[in-house]
Amino acid sequence: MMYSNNVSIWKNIVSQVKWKLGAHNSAVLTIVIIQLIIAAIANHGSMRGSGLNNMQVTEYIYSLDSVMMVSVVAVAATCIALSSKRTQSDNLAIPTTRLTASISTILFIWIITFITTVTAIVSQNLVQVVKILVLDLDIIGRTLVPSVTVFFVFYFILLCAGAVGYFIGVMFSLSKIVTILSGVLFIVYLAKVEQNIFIWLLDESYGMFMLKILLIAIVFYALALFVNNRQEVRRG
Amino acid sequence: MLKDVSCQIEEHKIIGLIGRNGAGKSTFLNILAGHIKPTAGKVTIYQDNPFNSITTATNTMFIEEGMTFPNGNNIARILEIAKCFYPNWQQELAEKLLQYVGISLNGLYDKLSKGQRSTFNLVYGLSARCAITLLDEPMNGMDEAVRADMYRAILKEYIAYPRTIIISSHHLKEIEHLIEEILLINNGQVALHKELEEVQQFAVRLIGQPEQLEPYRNHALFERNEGPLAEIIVEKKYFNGHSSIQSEAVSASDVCKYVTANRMGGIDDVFK
Repeated sequence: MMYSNNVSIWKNIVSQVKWKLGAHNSAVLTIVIIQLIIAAIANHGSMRGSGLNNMQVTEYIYSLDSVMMVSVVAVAATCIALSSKRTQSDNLAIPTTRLTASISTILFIWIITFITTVTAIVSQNLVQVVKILVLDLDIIGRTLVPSVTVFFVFYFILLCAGAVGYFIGVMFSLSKIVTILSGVLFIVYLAKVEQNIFIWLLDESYGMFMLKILLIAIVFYALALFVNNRQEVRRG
Repeated sequence: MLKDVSCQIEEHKIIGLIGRNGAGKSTFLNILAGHIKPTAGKVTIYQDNPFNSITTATNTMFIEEGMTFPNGNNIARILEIAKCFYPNWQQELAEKLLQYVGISLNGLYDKLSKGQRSTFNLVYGLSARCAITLLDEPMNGMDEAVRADMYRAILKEYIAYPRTIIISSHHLKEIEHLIEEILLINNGQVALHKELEEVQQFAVRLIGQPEQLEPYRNHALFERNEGPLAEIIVEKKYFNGHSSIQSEAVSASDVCKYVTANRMGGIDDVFK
């Protein structure tokens, strides 16, 4: 067999992304199921009122907050698992390097966060439709119309959660002690500046919020890529 | 693990990478596969530095015991994936070999026994038909019959589609019929790198009176005294054909054993 120098790095990355989508489809499915369950059982805000002629009105206010919180945790946990030693070992069953493995994993994370954003919003709407059909309710407002802004805010938040999770996973595979200690210090520090961070993130428009979140995500992805690329591609 | 290793491997050969436990065989293969970066020195595969090189990775198949595939993937799916990554992938060959050894395409990789996993890994490695195939103890866990079949499969594949194959093993006897060269690693260094025939001619076993063998003791790779006769293994170049000393050929496997021995004498000496 002849040694071939005609190897395309991008073709390899695209093939790896496709492979990862197939290999980790159960992880995506798990997130979607969790979102559906949370959307169904979450305690949505409601208001009751009654009038003179026995009229009773109950208002349900649907919010994506619960689904978002669960999605953030699920995506971060999935991304931590993606940088585990076992997953890194699995990567070696196909031609790969640290760089192509990391880039394909990051692209994979972007795709799964997109899918889970769509499913989060759809699950919310699905629950609303079921309640409308079963409980014979009326819709007031635009609850069933997906908002582009909400979609992108949700997507960028998940993207950021994925970046942080992936970075933690990469650091954890490098040194467990350093990661745990850094994590504890970060949480202690975060508790002190939490208010300031939220003000910094939320004091302007949604556009600025998304930009800031995206910037944080890019920094964490870049750090993960940098750290990962310094390591050897060794089976665990 | 490895130190001052220097060797050149010609393409389209089957090389036996021999050494004792912990000698550095796996480290050597990991460096060739580009998985480990050498702390010093230079490794070149077809003008490429293999470390983190996608060209090397695409042209190299590294099969080892710790190989894993994503959880929940069945064999058919793994073969399907391989098609996308290895340009010379032989689906029909893989399916035929797996059918022959009784591994179902619908079975899960995780549910295979240790021997079946090794067999599957080897089939995967052969079917990829990469220019460089690195096999680190590929027969671990396989039963005798499958082992023999798999050695034959390697040979048939190599004859039909020559490529560079490096097989590491503790058991040279098992792969002697297969290999053309021996690369013997001991304590992280290349102790011997020769054609198989040269290794088979490398040493000689001398049996005679202890005083007759005295001149050879300085060069002894191994020596033993039992009863009135003594036995010494030396490199053939040191033996001048003394007629009263009985000389015997030493197998390649024994040559490797004696060259890598840390001490004179054998296990019997421990019990003296």
